[in-house]
Amino acid sequence: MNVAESARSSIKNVFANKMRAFLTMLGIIIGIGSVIMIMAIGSGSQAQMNSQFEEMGLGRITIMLASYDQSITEQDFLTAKDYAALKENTDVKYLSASLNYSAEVKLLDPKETNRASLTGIYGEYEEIASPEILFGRYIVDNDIALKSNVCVINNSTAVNVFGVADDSVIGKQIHVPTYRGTQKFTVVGVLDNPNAEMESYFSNEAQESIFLPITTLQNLLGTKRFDTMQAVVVDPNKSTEVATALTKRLDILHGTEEKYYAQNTMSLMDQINEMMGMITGFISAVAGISLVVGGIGVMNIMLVTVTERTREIGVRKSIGAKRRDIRTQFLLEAIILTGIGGVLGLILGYAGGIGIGNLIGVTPMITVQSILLAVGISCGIGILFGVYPANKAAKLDPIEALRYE
Amino acid sequence: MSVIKIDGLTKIYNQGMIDVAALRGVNLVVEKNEFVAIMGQSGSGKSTMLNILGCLDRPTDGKYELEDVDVSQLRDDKLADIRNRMIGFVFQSFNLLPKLSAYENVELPMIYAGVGSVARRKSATEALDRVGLGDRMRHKPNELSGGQKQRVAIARSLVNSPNIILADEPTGNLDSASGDEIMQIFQSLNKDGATIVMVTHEQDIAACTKRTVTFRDGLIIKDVPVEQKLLGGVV
Repeated sequence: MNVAESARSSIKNVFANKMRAFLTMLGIIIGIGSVIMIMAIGSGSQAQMNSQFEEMGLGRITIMLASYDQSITEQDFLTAKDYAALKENTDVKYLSASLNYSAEVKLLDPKETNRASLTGIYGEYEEIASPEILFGRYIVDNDIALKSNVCVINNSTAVNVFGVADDSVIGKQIHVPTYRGTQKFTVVGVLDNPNAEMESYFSNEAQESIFLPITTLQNLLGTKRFDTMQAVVVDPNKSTEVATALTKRLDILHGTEEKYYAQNTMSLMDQINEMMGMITGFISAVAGISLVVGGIGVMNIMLVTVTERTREIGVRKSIGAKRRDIRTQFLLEAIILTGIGGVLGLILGYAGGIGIGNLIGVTPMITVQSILLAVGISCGIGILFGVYPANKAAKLDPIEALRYE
Repeated sequence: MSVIKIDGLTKIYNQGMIDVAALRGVNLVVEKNEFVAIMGQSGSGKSTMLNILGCLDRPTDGKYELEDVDVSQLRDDKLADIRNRMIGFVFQSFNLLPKLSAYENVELPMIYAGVGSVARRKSATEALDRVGLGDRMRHKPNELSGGQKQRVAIARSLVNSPNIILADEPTGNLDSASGDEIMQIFQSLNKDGATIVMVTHEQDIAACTKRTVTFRDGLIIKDVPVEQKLLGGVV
């Protein structure tokens, strides 16, 4: 008996009792359905996170001191010398450094002030943070060299300080009271602040953002150091190697060992992906336990079927069916049951994924691998739990089977 | 060349502590185109004999040659192959598969023999025509009368052109009119060259064969030729 004939006969037998077939499949449907749903949501949110990373920009490296404990000495801090040294690395496309200082800024009503974060930067910071310049210009190399008292502000800050955010702001001065007296910075550019709405949503006193030439801020604070350095590498796939090269270079320059730490978006993304994969895998495995329960259900029904059809098996054997023919027939019935269950589970799981995805704002993603996995696993369960009943049927003694009532 | 040659055939069933001998050294030869009735009371060993002849069971001892091939100790799958190609079975309770149509039931032995679908259609149709059921091919067994069911079973036994047809009380579940119909078919098949061995305990049925072998206590006690009563309609 060839496989096509067996399959035809098995399909007929499975559909002879539709209700029983459906109830038997149900365990597999639920099992595969939940695994597929979790995997679809998992890979959907992973893809979403990856695209967020890509928006942030891949191949971005932030370099800082690994820790700020007592072992840190004055010589360890990052300075303009380091900037010049790292700039020589040809794998680095853009390089900047930043220095942060928290201060206040006078608002439209001169009696009022608001908290402001002053960030000293190099001109290339524009390429790294890629803000949108609405009016005027960004900080340029000349500003760094001259330590000029210029600044770039957010449009929300412009509104708070000058009442408007248009090109009339350019050339006006903002006043920042510090311990060394009130500093005046001339506004040369206004940036878009895409997070303005969110910031005002989270705190009613949003911090104002003011970007200065890093040398200007260093001068004001009487320091030569940077807080962190930022780099964009030429080839994002080489981020990790370049990050290592940069920290090694710094260690050599400062005569230290592993004092510097580089965080890169690529390795961060890899770590998160790995973690997401583990979580998805673990939950899927837990959901997969229900597949075992479903498989036991299939085995149970197949054993009942074999008993019910003992006489049929006897007849088939008496007219020439070999053990292999009987085994193939019952095994195929089990595989058809679980296979159809798997396909239905796949559909159900994807539908469930869309439903839950809508609730939590994730687009579920179904991959070819997960389809193959679902169909493969469900057929595998058919084989695993169908072999025993099929063998039992195949081994029946024809005379005994024919006598069975 | 004999179709069946049996020499010192013994079958012992092990029932717990005691062994029960169903057959104790039976010798029998059946030639081509014979029509043999095996008679005897229940427990005489005739059913055991038929099971062994049909390769459904193996003898404990002795030799069974089917078409000069010793089949007494073959493996299961080899026996299945012999049942499929060399033997046609007809049972008292018909043993048709209830979910399959008459046609599909008749087709089944050919499927196991690996016959292609075109050849299957031809043979199955011919066999059903032969037993007068050419117009009932699509009917399920529960839509057929007892006599019709047995005719489907006979058609099924014929499709692989077996060397011998074995029938176990084929008229046992039928009224006498249907029984006569079945015996007519057997006589007609025998006339066309078929070798038939039939178990029965009815004298009337045995009278339709050509030779009667009587069993008692696992041994043949009588083996006589019969003046065959040809039923009407056998041509």
